Amino acid sequence: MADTHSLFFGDQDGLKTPWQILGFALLVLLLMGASALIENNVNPYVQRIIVNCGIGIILGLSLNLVNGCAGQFSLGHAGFMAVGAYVSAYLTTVLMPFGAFFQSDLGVGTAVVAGGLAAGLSGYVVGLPSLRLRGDYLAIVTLGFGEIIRIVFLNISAVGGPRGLPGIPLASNFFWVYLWAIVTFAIIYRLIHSSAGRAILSIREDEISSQSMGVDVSHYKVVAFVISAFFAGVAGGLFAHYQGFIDPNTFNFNRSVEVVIMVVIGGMGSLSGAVIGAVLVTMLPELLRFFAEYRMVIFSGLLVLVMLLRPMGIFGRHEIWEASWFANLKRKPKP
Amino acid sequence: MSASSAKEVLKLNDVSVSFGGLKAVSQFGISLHESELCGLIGPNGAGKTTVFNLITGVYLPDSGTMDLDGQNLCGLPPHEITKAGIARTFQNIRLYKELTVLENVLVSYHMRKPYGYVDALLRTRQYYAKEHELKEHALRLLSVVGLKNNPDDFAGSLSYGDQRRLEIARALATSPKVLLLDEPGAGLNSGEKVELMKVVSKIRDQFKVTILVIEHDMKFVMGICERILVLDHGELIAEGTPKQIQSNPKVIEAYLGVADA
Amino acid sequence: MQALIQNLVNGLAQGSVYALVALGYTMVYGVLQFINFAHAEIFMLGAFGGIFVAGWLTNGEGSFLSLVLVTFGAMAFCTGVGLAVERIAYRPLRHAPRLNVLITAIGVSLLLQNLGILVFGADPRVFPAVIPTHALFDSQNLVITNIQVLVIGTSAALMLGLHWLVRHTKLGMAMRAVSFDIETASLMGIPIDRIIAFTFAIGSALAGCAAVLYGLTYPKVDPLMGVIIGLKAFVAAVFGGIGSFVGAALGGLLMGLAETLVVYYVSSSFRDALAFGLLIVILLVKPTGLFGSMAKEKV
Repeated sequence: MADTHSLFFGDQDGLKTPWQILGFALLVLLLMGASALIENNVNPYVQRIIVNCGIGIILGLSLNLVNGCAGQFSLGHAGFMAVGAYVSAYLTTVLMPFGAFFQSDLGVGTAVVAGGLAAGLSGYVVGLPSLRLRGDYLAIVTLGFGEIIRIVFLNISAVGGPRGLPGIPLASNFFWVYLWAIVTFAIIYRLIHSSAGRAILSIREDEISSQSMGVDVSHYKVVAFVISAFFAGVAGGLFAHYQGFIDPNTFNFNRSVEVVIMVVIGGMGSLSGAVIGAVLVTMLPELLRFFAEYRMVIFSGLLVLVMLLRPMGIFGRHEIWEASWFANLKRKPKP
Repeated sequence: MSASSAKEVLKLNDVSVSFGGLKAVSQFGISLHESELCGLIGPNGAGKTTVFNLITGVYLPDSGTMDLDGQNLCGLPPHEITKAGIARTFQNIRLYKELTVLENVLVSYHMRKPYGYVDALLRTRQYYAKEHELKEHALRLLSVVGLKNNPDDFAGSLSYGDQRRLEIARALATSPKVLLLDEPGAGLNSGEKVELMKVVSKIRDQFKVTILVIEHDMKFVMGICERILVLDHGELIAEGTPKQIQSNPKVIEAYLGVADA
Repeated sequence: MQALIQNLVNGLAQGSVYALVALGYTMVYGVLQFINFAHAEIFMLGAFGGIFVAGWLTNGEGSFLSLVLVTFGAMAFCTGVGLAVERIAYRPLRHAPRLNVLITAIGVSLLLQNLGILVFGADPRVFPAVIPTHALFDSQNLVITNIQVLVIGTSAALMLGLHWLVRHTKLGMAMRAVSFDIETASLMGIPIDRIIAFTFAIGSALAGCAAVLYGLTYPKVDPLMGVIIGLKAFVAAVFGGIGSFVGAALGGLLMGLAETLVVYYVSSSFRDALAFGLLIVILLVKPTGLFGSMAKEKV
């Protein structure tokens, strides 16, 4: 039957379209069930953590496409998240003429997608400099773009400026967040395991030979940035409609770093690694709640330690189900 | 040689480039014919790799013309030149080390856009059919260069000689009209070199591709090339059959220096 | 006219501090080709070091001697931290991919920030007026204080000293050799590790001095103060051409001038956005900056 593995990863012959649709429907049903179960039986505090994990997963997966797969170091992910959050929240909260529509689930969904598209557009703008810059320089420029986006929102009074934007309809929940997380995973996984995805990976491996083998390097760098920014924007939209309130400071540099840590801990280029990294990074502060003041110290210390002791992250570039990652654990990082 | 009767494929005219006042290549001109196997030799620093970098668009020539089957190549970005039909290998191996051997070859098919994003995301029949077809084709190429045994190993884990072969397979996968090999024999032992000579000749015969090869090993060049070009200080100083080159005084001078210098 | 001169003096004083910090970025980039994000936090720690030394000097006020002690104390403290960071976090990664070094640098920067919050508290402290401010020149629209003269003078002296060190000493020659080609330098018998440590030490000491000078001008000190100063100094270094000493010094001064002029003639809300905007423009238009050169990858 339509087991989830072949649904997303495909087997030798592939699943026929009707089965894919059926599998997807089944998954939605499953999620609805889980959603009902969690909403009725789990205390709100834990629920909140679970949903935040889901948002983290979308962020981690999307950043992984640029940082882990395309090998471009972006430090401005919070900026894309901010664009998605503000655009979608603006649609559902401020834009009155369509008020009724944007209060519905469908409306919020549309707003979230619109936020994603706006973020994708900003990803295009940020992706352009990546054509000329690499490494540290690119990191700094993306950091700069992220901060500039934040400063721009700080100065737009229509969305509250520094006071923030309150009263956003609380429309996103476990179901929507995890549906998007699964969609994000499936899309990025399938992209990476396609011809275009191999082109993106080849850029990470060696840009010069990549272009010499006919890959339009500039094009695929921008593609990676746009897709990555789109999902970051979606995560932002979901976040806004879960919190009910956003302000520019929510999307500061620390948020970008948090997402980078997710990807780094999980292993750059490993999708399942990014998922686990996202869960760890979201849970850790909660687990360290009793040492609240040590939290950020432990966090940043952890980042340094991971880099020193296990520079390729937990899973390296492999997925959990790829047996070789286990052997990889024992392999010393090559100088 | 019947070279003159065959169709002209790649033609360079008066190509020059200089870096910071230093003329790296000056007024270089060649014309390669269909399925010709041609060698490019010269002392270290003669500008051989620079010629490759000019042809493949890594460097832009200061002057001169380059065309492939009548299509102008000057000013095209490297990936467009590859699409036009020129592929290369690198002197300092540049594989995608953390991709598998098979994936290294598969990347080269991408420029022909085997299927679109929708096929990839929905995993349509087209996706599976094309992926299957590409893999088959890649495996065939791998077996031509003698690498069919472990397509799923990481490229970085291959032995040096195998890495050089994989570079050739990867370049071939772009279906080039002209294949540029930059010191394919460097670092190989004599046994491996003999193997490589066979592979290179076989590729030329089987794919009817024009090959221009840079190589220091004279046995290699003299053994398989029909025609040899000699470059020194960025200038073409001799051109001819292996026999003619061997007895050309200018070539001997370039390599050994003038007798009383 | 007087307003312009006033702005130029203010900008020059501000720019001197940026220049000193920018030199630290540029020196480390020169030898190791990576951006030492933690440099901004070294600067921050220098300000705290200065506060503590001033505290120990009982009343901590008035004399020129106490200023010297505070400055040297801060510089020594920064040097120690800089060396420790290099030894613990960066040296083990000398041969690791650059991305890992970059992430580590960000990690160290965050770690020092948060350790700062933990140890010093998040609330700002006041940097003691080790020597009281008084005007050296005062007409109706133009005031030049002794602090401004001190800042500009000290920075100029330090930069000249650094120039001499790099150009005319054996140590400086070794530093230049390492930044030119680390492998070859090590084959020539240059003790790479020691030279790199020395580079960190110098850069950190400059940051420590800059922190004291900054504290005398703007006495508000908090654990996150390094972020924005560090960023501006970094932009200055990139503007001048990262890796170039003259570039960093000039970039710092120009950055300070530009900022002062923009705040005065345009709007103070652009004070911080200016640095980012400038950075992006530089990197898009001329990534090598004024005096830098970027190595082209050999094919």
